[in-house]
Amino acid sequence: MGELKAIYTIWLREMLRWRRDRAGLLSSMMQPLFWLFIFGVGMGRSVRLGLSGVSYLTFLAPGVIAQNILFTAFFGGVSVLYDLEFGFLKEILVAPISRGAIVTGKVLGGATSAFIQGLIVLCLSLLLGVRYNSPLGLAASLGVMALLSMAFMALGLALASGLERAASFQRIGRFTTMPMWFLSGALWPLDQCPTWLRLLILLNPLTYGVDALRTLLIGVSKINIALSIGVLTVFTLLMLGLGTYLFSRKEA
Amino acid sequence: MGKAIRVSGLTKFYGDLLAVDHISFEVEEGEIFGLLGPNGAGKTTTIKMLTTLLRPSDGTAEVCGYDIQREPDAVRRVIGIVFQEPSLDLELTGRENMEFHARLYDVPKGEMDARIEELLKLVELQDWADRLVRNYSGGMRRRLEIARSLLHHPRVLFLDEPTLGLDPQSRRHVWSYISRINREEGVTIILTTHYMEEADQLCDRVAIIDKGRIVALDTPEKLKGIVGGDVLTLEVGPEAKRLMEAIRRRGLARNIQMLRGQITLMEKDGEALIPVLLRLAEEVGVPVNSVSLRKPSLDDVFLYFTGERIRSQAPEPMMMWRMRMMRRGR
Repeated sequence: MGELKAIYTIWLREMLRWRRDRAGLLSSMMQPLFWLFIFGVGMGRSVRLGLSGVSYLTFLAPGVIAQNILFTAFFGGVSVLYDLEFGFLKEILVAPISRGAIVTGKVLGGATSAFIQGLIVLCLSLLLGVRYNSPLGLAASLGVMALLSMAFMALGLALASGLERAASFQRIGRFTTMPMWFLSGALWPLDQCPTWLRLLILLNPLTYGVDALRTLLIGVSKINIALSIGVLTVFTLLMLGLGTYLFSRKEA
Repeated sequence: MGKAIRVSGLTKFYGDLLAVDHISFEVEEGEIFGLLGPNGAGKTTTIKMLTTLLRPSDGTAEVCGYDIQREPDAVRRVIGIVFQEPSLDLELTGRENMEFHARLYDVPKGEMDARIEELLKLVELQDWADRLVRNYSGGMRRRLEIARSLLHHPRVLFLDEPTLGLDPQSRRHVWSYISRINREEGVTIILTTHYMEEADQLCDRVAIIDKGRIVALDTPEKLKGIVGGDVLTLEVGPEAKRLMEAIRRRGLARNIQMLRGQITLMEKDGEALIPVLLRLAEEVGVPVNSVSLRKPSLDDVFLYFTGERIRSQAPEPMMMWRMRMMRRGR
């Protein structure tokens, strides 16, 4: 009971802060708009996927949803370092709550905002004329989006817990998220690239999120969805464990 | 009365640097206990160990009977802390900061709102409760932190430099809250400070800490009593050393210190000593620029035990350096 209340408290604070950060929300919406509207529409004219009845924009949309979740969730991890730099982390660390509860609350908080932003991108894509298969697939994709949000928030938090300064997180973050995005199969189909590249793509957890979303939203699949969900779940649990371990070694 | 805190042989190394050197002391329940010393003396490190934020390198301590290393959660439940650096969420309102704390410490829902209101009133922030902390002044933030630290009815309250960086008026405000809290809520308070007056005004007992060790521990009155009845300060200049040796040779004062051309004597009957000292200065041919006589402060106690002044420590190297530069320039 006490643990749940602690998790809720940490989560609630993240939500309060997120709700007030209108500028942050707006600016994080610019990237997916750019990808969908400019890249998706522009490239769509000259790309032939070999998938019947699927436009490039439709092919791209699930990837852009996943990408927005990746960026929002991953960079949400930096909040630990901002808390450290602004001194608020001390208030959290001396409270009589477990380190696991702090990490879980933080991950749920960052994941909730990433999930909502993913949802907004989903709605944007509908407005741009992307058509998804079925209401059932749409509903199921929400579960995958939630899992993706948790996975990358946990990754960001684990990285942040191992670092001292927000600036170094931002630097490392740029080096990590960019390749993850390009090597996720979001921009081109998995089977249309050389083996070495495909290998890199298969090592990237984001790939499984993109493919699962594509399966559910537009019925195009390269990886078994059960495998994708399994990989994402294991990855999330690993990162939660690593994050908790690294976080509990932090001294404010 | 029981012991609120027992510390024995507590030690902290940062790498090779010994920050806290086997200190031991006890704090009675209900008292205001001060750790007085210059910056870098080890006060904050001591507080961080007692509040379970830092692991000691050696030694043990108990807070309300709970061991800080074996029962950190139990310790965290019975203590309140106001850190030296701010620890508020600037993007939340004062009330939201309070609610966050109340939930983390499991203050019952029915009690929470009333308790928050009561404490905001105590620190006179009720009108600011729903504004973002970002808009608070330094003094207001400090007051909010003090109110927050009391939400869960802690038995021991740690205040690390509670008035650092505040203007004199805010400082006095904070002092009055601290004594009221101690009286009305019956909370044991342990505070660190490098302000003499703060320790003198607020504390029942003071431990003077220097270079990681406790050099003296008693009530402010008794500590000042050790120094003697009066403090005499002679402004002499470069020849201070010669005069000091002469005073020593005559056996005029038991306790005599020299710091940068200034001789400080601590003796019972200071007034009668003034003419004697001036005559001696004339005999040895050392001009005295001025003489002052006053009752001892804790700063004098610190000087007595360490040969340094708390106040003058920070600017000293800079001053010396500047003086050297000036000489070189000539």
